[in-house]
Formats: sequence, C-alpha cells, structure tokens
Amino acid sequence: MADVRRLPVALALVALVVAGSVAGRAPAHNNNNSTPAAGSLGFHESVVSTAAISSSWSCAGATEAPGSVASGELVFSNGGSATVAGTVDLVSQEGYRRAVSVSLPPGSTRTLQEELPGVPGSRSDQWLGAIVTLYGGMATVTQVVSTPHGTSSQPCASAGAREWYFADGATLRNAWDEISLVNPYPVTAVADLSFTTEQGRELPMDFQGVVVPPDGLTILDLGSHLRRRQHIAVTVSARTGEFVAYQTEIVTPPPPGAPPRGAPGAVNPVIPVPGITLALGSTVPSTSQWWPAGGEGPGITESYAVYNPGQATARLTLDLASPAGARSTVPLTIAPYGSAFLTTNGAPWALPGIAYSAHLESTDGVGVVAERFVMDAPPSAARGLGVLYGESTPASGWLLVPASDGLMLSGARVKQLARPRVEVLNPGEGTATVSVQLLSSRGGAATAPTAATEVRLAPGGTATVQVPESSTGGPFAVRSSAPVLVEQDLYSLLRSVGSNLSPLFALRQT
Amino acid sequence: MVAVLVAWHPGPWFGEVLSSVAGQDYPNLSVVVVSVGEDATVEERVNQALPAARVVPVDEGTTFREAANRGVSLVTAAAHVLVCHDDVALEPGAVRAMLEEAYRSNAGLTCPKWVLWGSPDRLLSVGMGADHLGVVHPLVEPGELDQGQHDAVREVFVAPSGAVLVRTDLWTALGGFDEGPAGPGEDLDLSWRAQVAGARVVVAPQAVVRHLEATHNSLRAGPPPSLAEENRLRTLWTCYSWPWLAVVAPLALLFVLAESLWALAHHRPGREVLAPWVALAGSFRRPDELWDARVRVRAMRRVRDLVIWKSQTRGSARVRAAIRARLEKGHELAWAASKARLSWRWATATATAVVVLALIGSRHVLGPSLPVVGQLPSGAAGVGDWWRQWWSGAGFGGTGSVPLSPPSLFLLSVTGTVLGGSASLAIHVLVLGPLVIGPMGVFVAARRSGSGRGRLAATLLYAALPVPYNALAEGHWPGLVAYAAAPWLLSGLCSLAGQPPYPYLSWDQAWPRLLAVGLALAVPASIAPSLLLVVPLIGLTLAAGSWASGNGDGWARFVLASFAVAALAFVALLPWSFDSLRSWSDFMGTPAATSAHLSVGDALRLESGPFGGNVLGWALIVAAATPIVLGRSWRLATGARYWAVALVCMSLAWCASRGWFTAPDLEVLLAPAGAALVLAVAMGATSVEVDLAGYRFGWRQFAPPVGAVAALAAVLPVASWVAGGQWDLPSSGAEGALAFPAPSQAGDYRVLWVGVTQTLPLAPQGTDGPLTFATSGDGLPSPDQLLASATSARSEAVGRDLAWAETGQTTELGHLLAPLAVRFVVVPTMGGAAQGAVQATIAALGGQIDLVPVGLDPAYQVFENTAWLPVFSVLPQASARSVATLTGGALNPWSEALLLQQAPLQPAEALPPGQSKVVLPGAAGTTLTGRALLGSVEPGSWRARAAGGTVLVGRPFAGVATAWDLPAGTGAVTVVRQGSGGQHVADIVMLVVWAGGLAAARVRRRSGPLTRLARAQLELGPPGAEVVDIDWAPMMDGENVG
Repeated sequence: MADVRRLPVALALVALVVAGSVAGRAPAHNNNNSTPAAGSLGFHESVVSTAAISSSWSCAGATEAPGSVASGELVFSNGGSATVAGTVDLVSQEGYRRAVSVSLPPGSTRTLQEELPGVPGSRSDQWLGAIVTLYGGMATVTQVVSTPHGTSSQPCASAGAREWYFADGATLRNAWDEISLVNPYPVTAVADLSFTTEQGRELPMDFQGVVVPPDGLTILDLGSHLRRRQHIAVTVSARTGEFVAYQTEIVTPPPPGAPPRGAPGAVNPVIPVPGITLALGSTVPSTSQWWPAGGEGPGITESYAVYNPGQATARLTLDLASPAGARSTVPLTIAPYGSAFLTTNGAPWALPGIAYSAHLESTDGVGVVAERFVMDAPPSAARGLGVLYGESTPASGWLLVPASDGLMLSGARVKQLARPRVEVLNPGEGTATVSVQLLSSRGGAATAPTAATEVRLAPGGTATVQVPESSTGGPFAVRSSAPVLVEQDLYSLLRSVGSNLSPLFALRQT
Repeated sequence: MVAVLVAWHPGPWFGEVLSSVAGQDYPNLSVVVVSVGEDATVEERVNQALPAARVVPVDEGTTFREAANRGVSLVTAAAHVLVCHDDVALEPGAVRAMLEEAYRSNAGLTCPKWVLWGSPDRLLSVGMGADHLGVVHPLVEPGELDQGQHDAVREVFVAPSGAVLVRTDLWTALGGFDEGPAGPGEDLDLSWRAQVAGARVVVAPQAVVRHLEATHNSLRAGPPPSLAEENRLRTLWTCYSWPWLAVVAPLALLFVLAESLWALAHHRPGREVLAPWVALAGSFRRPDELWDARVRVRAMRRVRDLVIWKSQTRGSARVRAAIRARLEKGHELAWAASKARLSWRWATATATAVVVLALIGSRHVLGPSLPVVGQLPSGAAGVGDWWRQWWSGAGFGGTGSVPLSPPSLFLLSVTGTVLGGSASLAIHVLVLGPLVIGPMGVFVAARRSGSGRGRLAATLLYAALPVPYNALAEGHWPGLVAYAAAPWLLSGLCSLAGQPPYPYLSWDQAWPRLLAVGLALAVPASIAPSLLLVVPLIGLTLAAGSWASGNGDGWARFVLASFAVAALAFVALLPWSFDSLRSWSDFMGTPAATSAHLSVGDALRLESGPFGGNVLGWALIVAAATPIVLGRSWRLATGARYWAVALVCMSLAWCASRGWFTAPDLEVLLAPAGAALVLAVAMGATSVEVDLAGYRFGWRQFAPPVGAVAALAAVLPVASWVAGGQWDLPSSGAEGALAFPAPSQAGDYRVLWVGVTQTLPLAPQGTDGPLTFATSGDGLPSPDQLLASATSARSEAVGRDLAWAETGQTTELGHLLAPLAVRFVVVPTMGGAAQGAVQATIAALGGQIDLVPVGLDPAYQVFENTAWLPVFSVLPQASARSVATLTGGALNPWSEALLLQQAPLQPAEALPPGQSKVVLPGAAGTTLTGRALLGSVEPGSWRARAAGGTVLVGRPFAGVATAWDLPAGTGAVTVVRQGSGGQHVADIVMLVVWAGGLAAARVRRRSGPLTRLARAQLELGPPGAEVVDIDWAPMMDGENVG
C-alpha cells in the first residue's frame, strides 16, 4: 500500500469544520413563510376581496318589516366588473326562513327590505338575521336599521369569531339594548355573556349557555335581566362554534323633565336624545385605536366608552389632536373587567369648538375595547345618535357604500339629504395621498380624482374627503398611497335620518 | 570450522552462494563442496570462488543426506561443521554469529535466520516448530517483514538443514543424517535425535541466510513431496520410545484416515485420497533399517520423551494450517479479522444490550398499533388490502397521479403475510426493526476492523446515535430505514472496492456480492428512494477520502461499485423506479424538515430532532478522530474515507435543513454519517492496538484514554432517551384525530390533509404555500401513499381551492371540494417555523360556512365538509342539469368554481363503496333517466358501462371529476377502473427481476462457501500487485500462528 498521508487528511478535516462554521452563519433560506396567508387584515373585520369568488356575510340587529322598532334593510353593492349573483337567507329567532336570490350588475347598489311575509306573530319585534352569500369579488352587504328617530348602518361581518365585545349600552326608561347573535356556520354555537355595569360585573344565568343554532339567530334583550343600567359593557364568548354579534340600541324620546344619564344624583335617568345605533362588536381588544373625526359643541355631546375585558389593569391615554396643532391628553386606568365613560363636553381636557382626531393607546400593553358615542340635538343642526368603535387596522383601500337610493322610513322611501363625509386619518409615519373614486359599471373608476376628492395627509393628519357626486348611486373606492383609517359620517338635518357613524369595508387586494 | 556444501546441479545462483561463503569474516573456515553427479562446472566455479576449497565428487543419485555425511566424514580436527545447501547465501558474519551463539548457548545444532533470496527484509524462517506428530511448521509468517521482531535467540524444535551448524562430536554421536530414506525430512530427524541425545537446538537470528528455495520454486527438479510425509512418519516411529509410540501411533493413524477422508470429501483425485496411506506404508519400508535406527536412538537417549513432548507445539499444526489456508490464507488482514472476533459472550451481551435498549425505549408503543405520525405507515387497511392495492394499483385516495404501486407495498404485504397476516405486527417490525438491524450492521461491518473492542464500541455507539430516535419521534420512516441500511451499504461498498481491510475480489468473486448489495439496497430504497442517490454519493466520497489520504488506489472501484449497486437496485425496482424519475420529489420522498434549521454543531452531532446529547453529542466526534490521530497505513486511509463520508453527508444535511435544495429526510443523510463515524471509532481502536506502540512517548499516548472516555460519554445520553418509553412519539397519531367513519352506506370519501409536510401521514400531492396537502381514501392513508405522486389536475385544483380559502376569496370551500369527494379536512396543528401558515389555514377553514369543526385531538384540527359528495354518486335531475351546465363550454377555473358553488350538488345518492367496481342498484321503480352519475375520479381513468354492455361516455366535470349522463332506461351501471393491466405488468416485471436476481445468487451459493473460500485469492491489491507492502509485522510479535 502506498504511503498514507496524515497531514492532508487532518487539514481537510479542520478546513471542512471551519468552513462549516463560517457557512453556519449564513442565513437560512426559509421556504416557510410564517406570515399568515390571509394577509395583513384580520379575519374578523368586514373585509371585501377584490377577486373573491364567493363571500359570506352575516347581518343582524334589525327587525322585520317597515315601521318596526328597528326596521332592517340590506344594502348590496357590487364594485366589480361582472354581475354578482347571490343568495340571502333571512332567518328569525324562531327559525322562520326566507331565501332570496339577488343579482347585482356591475357598479350597482341594491336594497332589500328584510321581512318574512306570512310568518305568524308580532311583526314589530320580529328580529331577523341575514346570511348572505355572494359569488363574485368587490361585492358587499351593509346592514341598515331605522326608526322614526334615526338610522344606523354597519357593514355586515365577513367572518365569525369566538369573542365579541361591546363597550357600552344602556337599559333605561327610554333605551333598549338588544344583542343579536347570528351563526352562519353549519354547527351549533353556544355562547356565554358577561356584563360590566355601574353595579359591577354581572353574569346572569339566563345569559349563560345561550344556544345559537346553525344558520340561525338568537336575540338577547339585555333589559330583561339588566334593568335600568346606565352603562353596560358586554363580553360574548363562545363555548363552541363561532358567530357574529351585533348590538342594537334603540332610544325613544325621553319623558319631559327626566334627568339625563350621568347627571349627579339622577333617579331613573334617560338618554336625552332619541335615535338608534347599530354596532358590530369588536373581536379583539386593541392597544391602539383611532377615531379620525371628533368634536363637541353646542348640541353635540361626545363621549368615549372604554371597556377592559381582560384580567389585567389597563393603563391608557386618550389623545385629542386637532389639525391646527391643539392637543389634549387624558390618562385612564381601567380595572380588570372594568369600564369607563368619559364625556368630552365640559371636561378640562376638552377641545371645544374644533375638530380633532382621537387616539386611545395603552401604556402597559393591555388591550381594551372603546367606542365614540355622539348625541346630536339642538342647537346643533344634526340629529340623533351615533356610535363608532375605535379602528386599529389601517388599510390602503376602503369601499364606501352609500345608501344612495334612499332609506325606507315608515314604509316610505326617503332620499338622503346629505351626502356622507369620509373622514380619513393617517396613522403612519409617512405622507399619504388619499382619493375617492366612483366605481363604474365596467369595474374601473368612473371618476378621476379631483382636487376636491384627493388630499395629502401628513403623518397623524386628518382630513375630510368629499364623496363625489354620483348619478348611479354606486360604491366608491377610497384609495391611499399608505395605509389609513377611514370612517363614514352622515349627519342629516332630518330627524328620521339623524346621525350615522360607520366604518367602511376594508379592501383586500388579491 | 568446516563448511560442508552439498551441490546438486546448482544453477546460476551458485556463484553468489560461493561468494557469500568466501565473504565470511570467520578466519578459520575451511570449505568442502560435495558435488553430486558429473558436473565439471561445479569444481571450476568452486575453484574460481574458493581456491582453497576441496571439491568432493560423489555419484549421481547420492542423496543429500548421504552427500552431507560424506562431506562431514572428511572433516577432522574441527569442533563444528556447517552443513549447507547449494541455494543459500550466507550474509557476511553469519558463520561467526552462529559459532558464537553455539558456544554461548552450548547448542548442538544452531541455525540462522532465513530470509527471502530476493527480499532480505522479508522473513522465511527463524527455526521451525513441530507438533507431536512431527508436522513441521514455520514460526514466522513467510514473507513477513523483518523488523527485528524475531531477533531473540531461542530454542526451536527443528533446525532447517539448508544451513545448520552442528557440533562435530554430536554429529558423530548421531551418525549424521539418517541415510535410510530418501527425500526431505532429514532436518526433523536430525534435530529430534539431537534433542533426544540431550543437545539444544538454537536459532541465532544474528546470522542471516538468504534462501532461494530452488527446488520449491521449481528452479530445478527435486524429490517427490510425498516422501516428506513418509520420512516424517519414519522419524515418528524412530524417535518415540515404545510407551509414547503406543500413544502417538493411533493418533497418527487417525490423522492419516482423516486426511484421506478430507480429500475424498472434497473430490480430490484418487492419488490424493490414497497418499496418506501410501506415506504410512512407505514409512515402514526397509523395516530392518527402521529397527536399527530405533536401536540407535534408544542407545543415545538422554532425554525423556515427556521433555521432548513439551518442547513440541501443542495441537495439530496441520489442522491449523488447513484452517488458515482457508480463513486466513497467509494474509495479515485475515489476522485482523480474527482479532476482531468477539467471544460469544461479548457478542451475546452486545446483542442483548441493543435489543433490550430498543425494547425498553419502545415499550409504550409496542401495543396493538403504532401511532400514525409523519410518514409512519398505517395498518388500518390490513394485509389483504395491501396485496390488492399492490396488484391492482393505487386506489382512489390520492389526487396525485400514481400510475404504479410502489414496491414498498409489496414489502409490507410480504412481511404482513409472513407474520401471520397481522398488519400491525408487520408495521411494528418494519418501523422498530431498524433499531436493531442498524447496530447489527455495524457489528458485521466492523469485523474487518481488527479490534474486538472497537467492534463492540462501534455497535453500542451506533445504537446510541440520536438519528433513529429523532426519525422515529418525527415519524420519518425513510430515516429509520436509512439508519438500518447505512452500515450494511457502507460495508458492502468497501467490500466491493477491495481496499484494506477488505480483501481484493476478482470479478468472479465480486459479481455475486455486487448482486447481493444491489438487492440489499433495493429493499430500503423501496421505502426511501433517495438512497438510490445517496449510495453513489457515498461511493464518490469514499473515493475522495482515498485521494485525500494519498491512497488513491482503487478509487475507481469505489465509484464503480456504488454506481453499479445503485443501478442494480434501480433495476430491481423497475418499472416503478423508472416511473419515479418523473420528478425530483419522487426520488427525494418527503422533503427535509426545513423547520429543523440545523446549526453546524447540530449537524456534526447528528441531532436533527428532539434527541441529542448536547455537549455529550461531541463525544462521538472526538472518539471518531482517533484513527486520524493515531492511524497508519490502511487504518488511516480507512479512517479518512469514513470521515469523508461523514462530513459530506453532514454537510448536505445541514444545507438541506436550511432550504438550499430539496433533500430527503435529514436522517437519510445523517444515518450514513453516523455509520461512518462509529466505524471510524472501530478503526480508531485498531489504531490504538496496532499503531500506538510505534510512536515515541508523547501526546498521542493520551489518545486511547481520551477516545475511551469519549466513546463512553457518547453512549450515556441514550440512557435518558429510553426513559420515555416511546421515543417522543405521541400516544396517538392521525388515527386518533377522528374516528373516521367506514365508507358503508354513505359511500367512499376522501380525507384532505393539509399542513407542514413532516406532519402529514402521507406524501404530499401538492403545495399550498409553505404547506403541503394530500388526500387519502376512506380515512387514514394507505402505505402506498407514503411516496410522492406526480401532481395532477385534481391536486392543482385542490391547491387552488385552498389558496382561495386562505386569501378570503371563498367561504364555501366545502362546495369546491365536493367534486373531489372530500369529506374531512385535517390540519396537523404542529407547524414549526410555518406555524403562522398553519394557524392561518386553520382560521381560513374555520371561516368556511360549509366546514364544521369536529374532533377533540389538539394535535389535529378536523373539519367535516357538509357539502361533500361520495366518490360515486347519482345526482338528481336538477343537479344533473347543473352538471350539464358545468361540463358544457369552455370555462376558466374561476367561472367554473363560481358555477360549482352555485350548483345544487346536494343531495346526491351515495353509491355503495368500492374501489374498483360500482354497481348502481337499478332497483324496481328506480329510474335513472335524466340523471347523472358523478365519479370523483380523474377523467378517463374509469369506464362506465350500462346493463347490456352499452359504454357510457364520460365527460370531465369541473376539471377534477367525471360525469356520465344516464340515458333513458338505464337500470344498472358498472364502473370499472382502467389501467389495472399496466399495473399487473409492472408487478410481474418486478417479480421477474427479483426472481432472476435471487436465482443468480442461489446459483452462486450452490458452489458452496468452502469451495469459494478455497478458491479465494486473498491479496491486498489487484492481481500481480505486491502482496507484502503492509506493516503488520509489529503486532505479529509473539503470535504463534503455526
């Protein structure tokens, strides 16, 4: 055998180990993208996909038939380029159903009055839910509820969740609070409800183990067990299954001379302004949430309700900032399962008479649920109640669906007298250019942005973007060069329309 | 001092012989040359070289004994006489050295050290030994390198007569050589009688003599060899006293009988059978002379036979030589093999330790069924179904294209049948068996190392590697199989290459082994096809290791052997293996767990999963470095080869874990690395035993204790691993996720598995972003689905549908999956680095309004599809019209999916389950007119025939299924799977190939192992190469190999 060389072998070994050690510092090529495939938007929002082949929408919080206590309408919109077909399953708490087919031409908006003809029983308190399936992209469904004292709209939910939170409600002499649970899934869901009121945390037995049948609806009248509560924060938890939760608050005109809610020493108080609010619950407590538009003044009462559904104390700050540079900060501490209701008017930190945006931020990482509650009454020109939950997930595209062909009020269709305003906030650190475009029947933008409909936003800046005139009543797209937060405000001089604060549909580009 | 040189027609070497005598430095040396026969040149040459020498001619036919006696008889006044052959050359000083030693030791007979004529550094003899029957044997290995290892003066039994210094008075007393018989054997006779007379026979190694062995090497004619036996027996009858002869004679007779029978049993020629008897008879020729010789011996006896007996070699030199001729055949490497033989106690203890380790560590999974985790097979189907699936092809379970059944299914079926039809037992054996088969392979492979201790350590170290336990914990069946196969394959390749410590094999000897190794590779490759690529890789790295160590000889054999073995295995797995060439993923099987992301340290410690020794994991590296530090010669070369294999395999595993290329289970690469390392440990033990003594005192002397401690430390972690009792396998696997219903009345269905590849209990059939998916039929996957199948339109449709669901583009995934008969969607919740994607998928599936979460196993999220359709179902008229709509016109997938979701596919009439044949009921009153039969099968893969033989025309449905319109009057329809014929052909081809291979092996085996051994020409290199260039001499010191 030839001589065997030790040195080359040893050197090769050492060289390989050293090379391996050096190469070991190289970054791994990660084939596994851990980013959720669903994208940056959460699932439990009203999200519309530009290229969906089907979407399911869950709507609730309305009652059957025009003239009922919370008369409901479904507003369908198709911002795509092809006709969208769909099916609507209207379902009552008792299990009565009605299937309706819908067809939406491109760029159209259609309205469906929610009613179950031929169903026995009182029609005034026949609560309905709707499970809508639309086959096509850019198609949305909006739930609208109306009373003679106002109207309120909310995007229907595009997905269910196991937890739902509501920051505030009331069961007073002139206020009714209803929680609607609609289950779009083919499996029974069971829910437990817990409440935080001014009397503490409450878990009524009748609100435990609430069954929400498959493709069904369950209505919970909070006033039946939580009587005369001025503030009610709600947690709805699923034992099994998932569902969608809405809160409908109906406020009738208060008796003359009745003390308003929150007045010191008030006995049997009332909410001083009639109206109706519909809110899709929040599914995740957030550590940072925004309201693009805010303000108070004569006749306009603004409040912030904050609910801490967790087991840790939440320490927060509420910052009010006007475009002109005025700022005000309020520190807040919310105990576990506690809530707070802050009225801006008259507060030392208020910024009266100017518009501002609000930012609620946790300083200790504990998430909360919060809403902005507005009462409009004379001497303000606006009327009614409005509620808007804080927004935490910015997006670069939003879909606005105005009820352009009017609302059914007391059996008659009433045209809106005021165009909705789009309030935009740039929560990022860069400048955002925002525009609003009418979506045409061909699937593109029918109107090019104009100076009136396009605005540049500095970081933290807010602006009101006017919705362009539309002859078709079709949906609008709000697009931004950077993620922004948007809300739709409608303040009508008509009492029957009143005030309406509503989020928009987030657009998911695919 | 007189030298008597007997010349018998010497050849050209004679001049050198005379010159060597002339060159002696002993001053008072006279020379007498006895020339046999009429050869005038002898005197002339003697006079030329030794003018003072006396030449004594004798008649032609004078024997050596007579000639020597004649020559010595002419000597007078000399105390010693040196008797020499004419083919020995005395090294300068040889005479003086012998004479000095004769005086120093008071020896009667003094013999020199004999070396090869042409290679003075190689020993030929240092005196001789003889057993009790007078069978002479050398005391050194002929051809052994002379490194002074035998340079001690010692007594021997026989002084070879080629050059022997005899005290003159002793010679006279003994009467010189016994002139009675002719032929060889005079040295035994003279030495024996000298010892009987009380003289010492001594070897003086300082005196060196080169011996040409002219007669032995056929340089001239000589007496027939048979006379040697005759003379040996005659010496026996002469030298033993009567009492001892009474004992020895029957023994000698017995050996004569045994030798004759041996020759008879081995079909030797008749003369060889009779030769022992002829020799026995010849030993009694001229009995009077024999008697006289006995009388003379008795007269001179001064030493009892008991003393003589004790100086003889124990046992039978002939039996030992016969065994060595077959098993060790004069080859030092065989000596190494013999040294590596463990006593049966150690071997049994090692085997027991390995088996007990496997049993204790697996005690909790020895139950009725193994959990279905990762790629571990499921026994839910049963052995009968395995046979059916292997014979008829894949069932409807997968969406991927699987034209041929894998041979692994055949392996499972055979194993299950052999084990009494128990599928569970077969799976236990095939999954847990590698824990024992692997160490057994190391035990066998290390037998060539030359160290029993090293062999033992390597076996235990291999059993203590984390590789198999990590593979088991993560359900990597291919990794386990690779662990079992790695040492066998490594050993097989080295054996075929014929590099030390393995003997060189001629082609005639190599091809049966090549066939065996090829078939041996085919078995594991049927489960882990990537081994077909790993084996050539190992061959290349072995060759590279040879080059690195400067021992490039035979590198081509490593390469050729590895490629030939892989090619043979490939052929043995035909036609399935050829079909698997379609894609890289087919060969690779389950891709590497990129979630592992091995660090360099992890790769070096072979820790690809939850098991690993952490700091102690480095101990194996330390222990395996021993041959590199201490080894010499082939031990260093072999160690370098093993290290090359280990480093390359570990490097590839490391790269694969980082996602740089698609590779099989990491254990498939780490197992050969582990086998190479433990075999390097065995080689290190040999280096300690052989090479360490050759170094001067220094740091290397610390290598043995360090290596021993490291080996012990490397074994320790396994003690903690066995404590869990199930190698980190979960108590229940996919089979526990949901009690999948039997197909029964609801019809056949599929289960869609989505998740990280390593968590799926079957091979992926498509990708879903970072995740993969696959479908199985009627519940758990069958074993044939463990190997990847080619992507088909159906699997692409599933991937598309899943992507739509995950990007929020649909909330009715169940409807989209309905034509694929997907009834359940199962997502293993373990995702590793892709956990985010897994959770997103679960959330997306949870958001589908037609999927219902079911099951309680936290390891699996299971959804039931409320919109599912059976594999075969009859759609009502309304649905049938929708089917017609969907199948008519060219639709893109998008609009097709839209229509599909809107189509009222439910309710459908489920048909009875069946994998190859469906018969519609066609009951009285049932009308199928206007309806459609929907088969969730690939278009064109099934054929429908109505009663009466009418063939129905099927149409693709939604791109993933087949729809048949049922004409008026249809009463019953038979649906038969097409393409089974091709599968049958494939099965037969594979069987024929295997039968041919086994038959060839059997034919080879019939030649008999003994015959094969007898034919073996064990050499160190190719034929003709120098045989003796190995420094085994140091360790032979003190070894009496005679």
